[in-house]
Amino acid sequence: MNTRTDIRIPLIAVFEIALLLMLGILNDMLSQFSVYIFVPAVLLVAPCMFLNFTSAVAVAFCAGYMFEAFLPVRDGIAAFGLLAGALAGLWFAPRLRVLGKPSVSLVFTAMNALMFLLCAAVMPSGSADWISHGERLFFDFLFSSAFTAAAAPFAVSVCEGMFMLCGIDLDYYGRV
Amino acid sequence: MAKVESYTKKNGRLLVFFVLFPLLFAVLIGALSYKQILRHDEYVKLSERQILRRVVLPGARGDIFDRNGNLLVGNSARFSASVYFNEVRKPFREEYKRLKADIIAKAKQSGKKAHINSAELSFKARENILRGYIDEVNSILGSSYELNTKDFNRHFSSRQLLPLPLIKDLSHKEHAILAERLPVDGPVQIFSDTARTYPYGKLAAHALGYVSQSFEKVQEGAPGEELTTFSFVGKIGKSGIEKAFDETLSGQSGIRIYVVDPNGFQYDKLLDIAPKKGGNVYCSLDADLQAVGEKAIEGRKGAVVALDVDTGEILALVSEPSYNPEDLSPFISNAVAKDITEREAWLNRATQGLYPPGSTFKVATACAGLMTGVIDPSATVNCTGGYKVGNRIFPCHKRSGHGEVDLRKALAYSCNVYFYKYGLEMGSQAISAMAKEFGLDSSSGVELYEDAWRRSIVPTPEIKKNRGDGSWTGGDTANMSIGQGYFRTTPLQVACMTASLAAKRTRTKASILHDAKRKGGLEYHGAEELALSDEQYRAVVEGMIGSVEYGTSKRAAIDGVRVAAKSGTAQVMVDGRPLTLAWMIAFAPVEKPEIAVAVIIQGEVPGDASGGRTAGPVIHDVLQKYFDKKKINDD
Amino acid sequence: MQSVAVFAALLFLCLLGPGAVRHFTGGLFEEFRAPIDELPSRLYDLEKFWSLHSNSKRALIEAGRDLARLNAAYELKVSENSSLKDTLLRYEAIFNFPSHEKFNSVVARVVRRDLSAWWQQMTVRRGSLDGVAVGDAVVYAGGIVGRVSEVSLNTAVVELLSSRKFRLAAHFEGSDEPVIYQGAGALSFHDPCGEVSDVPSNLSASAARPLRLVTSSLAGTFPEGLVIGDVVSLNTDSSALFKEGKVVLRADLSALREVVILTKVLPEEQEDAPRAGSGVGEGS
Repeated sequence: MNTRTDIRIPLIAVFEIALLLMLGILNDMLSQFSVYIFVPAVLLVAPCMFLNFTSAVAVAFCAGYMFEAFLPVRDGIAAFGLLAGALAGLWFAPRLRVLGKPSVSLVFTAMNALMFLLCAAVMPSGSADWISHGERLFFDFLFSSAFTAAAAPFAVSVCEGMFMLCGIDLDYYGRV
Repeated sequence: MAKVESYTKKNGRLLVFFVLFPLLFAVLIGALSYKQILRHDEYVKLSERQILRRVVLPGARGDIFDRNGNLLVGNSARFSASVYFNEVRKPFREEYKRLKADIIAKAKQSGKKAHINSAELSFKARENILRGYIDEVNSILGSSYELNTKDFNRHFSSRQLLPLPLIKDLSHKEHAILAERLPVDGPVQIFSDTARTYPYGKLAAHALGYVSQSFEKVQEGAPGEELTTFSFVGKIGKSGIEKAFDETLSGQSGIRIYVVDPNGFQYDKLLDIAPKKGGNVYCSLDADLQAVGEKAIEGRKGAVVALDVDTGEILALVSEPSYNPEDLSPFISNAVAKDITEREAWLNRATQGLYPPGSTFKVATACAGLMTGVIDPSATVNCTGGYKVGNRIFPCHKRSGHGEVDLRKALAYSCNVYFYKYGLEMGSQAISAMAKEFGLDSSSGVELYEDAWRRSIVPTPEIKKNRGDGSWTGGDTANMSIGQGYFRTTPLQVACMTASLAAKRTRTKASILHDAKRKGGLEYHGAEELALSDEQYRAVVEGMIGSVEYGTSKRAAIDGVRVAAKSGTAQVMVDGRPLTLAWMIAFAPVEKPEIAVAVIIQGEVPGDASGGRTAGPVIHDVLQKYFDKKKINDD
Repeated sequence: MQSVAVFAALLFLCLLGPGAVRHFTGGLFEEFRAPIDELPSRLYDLEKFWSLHSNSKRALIEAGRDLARLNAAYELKVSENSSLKDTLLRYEAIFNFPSHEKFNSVVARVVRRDLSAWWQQMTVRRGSLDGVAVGDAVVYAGGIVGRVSEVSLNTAVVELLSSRKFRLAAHFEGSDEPVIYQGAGALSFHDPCGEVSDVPSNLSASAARPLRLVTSSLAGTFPEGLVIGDVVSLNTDSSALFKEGKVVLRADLSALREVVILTKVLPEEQEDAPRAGSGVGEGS
């Protein structure tokens, strides 16, 4: 691991913690409308975009673990979805360069959709009323995807800006 | 040069091959076709029987209301902490493995071979898990319930698909605590059921009846008839209205068909037909009148029957001693059964008690005498306190005698001598005919099963002969004319006779059901008009009015309403002891009778009860309540 | 291969690691996370302070005066409340009634709400240092909010009554028959709701004449008679023995900023509990 990666890891970590905080505030504000924004993708894909492979794995894993720890689910089921998502993200990372310049929003939204659907499949609803649970999931999915698509470019820009402010030369694979 | 084999078509061995193998294949295909096509339905049914199970769920039992819409019998929730075996298969399996591993480890340590009895080990594993759940519940409740091993074993072997109640009949507090503290998706859940509830306590216990547990019977034509069936415990009426209208009250069972795995645990639900609640029954009883009647004879043995004169609907059906039907639900404990038996409270004295009617029968004797022309209402008889029949003196209850009495005074003062004389003159046949005309040996028509009319007796010479008591004598006629001797009637029959007399008809059809549209009338009751002239009928009624105004039934009088009544004091021998029966019948208001009442109270020692003194106040209370309520309603 | 090995090791650590390690790290993380949850709430308070600071003195004086009037009115209510409670205690003693459960009230600021398809909970700014324990009731002026499900030193997580894992015994106002209330989540852009079951079949409800569902004190967690919600329709359930229906919860549940945690008063509790809140509740 070279020095540049060493500095980027704590910066990405700070970014992720700030992101978690802001998501918490956002969900708190949206709670009165019964809407929930579920966006682990930003946490997982951002490291893959800016770090080398091993560091990306480590940071994505820690981010996923921290995201899971913030969830009220305590029986570890979410870990399955998030780690599976981390794996998918790792799969994405080496291939972002090969794919050319896909839209940031598309990558993040696709990743988030995958995470959301995996978590919806494995996390118990605690209710036999699948229809209303499904309806709520659908709207949460819609809003989460819309938010991810809208916020992803800003998140990437913030990271880039952060690195530039710290005078770090961006060296990443498949930057878009 | 190598020898070259050449193929010849006409090889015998090949022929065998070409014939035999097709034949064998034909047999195979034929057998498969037979099994899979021709016997397809049969095998499908066999397969269904193996993999499908049917569960029958009882519908909620209907409610019973009184004639004014007051709920007399309803359903209240009953809760148990139960577990579905299907939810706990994994813990069972894990515990089984753990116990097995323990045994193997111990055997290895001691150097012996491990002997594992799977069935016993499975049982032990299940027991351990269920004990663990009960311990969890005990720690939540702070209680010390224990696992009933016998129940659990029986349940597991024959009722696997149904939830096993670990703790039955949770109190409201226990239910509240468990509802909050048991995990929502845990294996132990609260299972809800219903039990009969009696808002009025023991009111009308005999009339309403009680229920006991039964495994739910399924309607004919219900799906899954040929499948192995499990039933939730339902209820069946055992007496009273609960039994008489059990079909209406029971409702319709629900059916669920499950696919089960090879071990018999449910896998999937194929069919779910919801149960339907039973229909409600609106009985004819008036809760307030019933309560007054029960209070009036509380602590004594007896019965009160009040009828609507016009329709024959039973307004009150009291039998004491009684019991609390709540004590019999959901099952009757030995202690409760013993107590009720010792107090002789099982018997519905109103419909099953058989007693001689005593002097209340004099009204029928009077009617018989008037119809046959033997009695002239204005003719008098001199009562000197006794009447000689053969070589025996039959006493009047007033030893000094009533003096000159006509029909009116004879009824008012209940003079025995008057009725001895005219009874003997008209003969037993006329009297028994009148009794039968009034329905004293036939069914009153009430819907209840507990009606002992078949054992009621109107005395005749044949009956005496059949009993081996010899031939009929004048004394028997004398006894009969005052409602004594071989007479046996139920209080309901006597009440029907009273209502018939009040309405100037021969019969009254009693009913425990309320129908606001019921009209009554001769045709409805299957009756004819009493063959008495207006003057004759008036004489009888005036005699009964006189009984209230100046005679033996003074205690039945109420303010503002003219009451006609007749008292009676009968004697019976019970286990060699003479016992007094205090009777009174009454109807009111005289001008246009609405209610007829019959009361009987059994004395404990000779002379402690008399019709006027003992039964009179009961009549007073019942009639007073009836007319007070009527006044309030009219206002 | 290297990446697969790394991933497998991480998977093992997360999923298959010893329970004690996970529990320890989980507990540590809660204490680490709690200040993070609290931070936005503190920043909000700070923001509010500075925004008020920018108001003119006149506006502040007027606001202070209005508040003083309100305070005076509430002080009167508090003293009335006190005397009513004393009267109640006297009656309990005279008639030998069992004493009703006593609670201490701890006012808590809502830090964060998590209302999703899977969970319905909120985080409040009171913890074990304030005497809050798991299972304590959380209420507000309009009725009940939920139950404390997790406690750390300074924060607590409250499972809301709209959560599907929230269940309690209740009864309708004016009736003793026990029924079960369970949360049913919240559809998007709808108010949270719940379900009531085991309702006696002779009861009925309609939008014009709803039945009010209130708490039962039998379990000892909630005081008697606190409002849960209103039932506007009842239907026969699948067993046909009882009825079930939807419970409409208060709309302001999703927008609460202050709640009250009712901590149980133990018989041997000292009068001066540490950081025991507003002093509105009963002492031991």
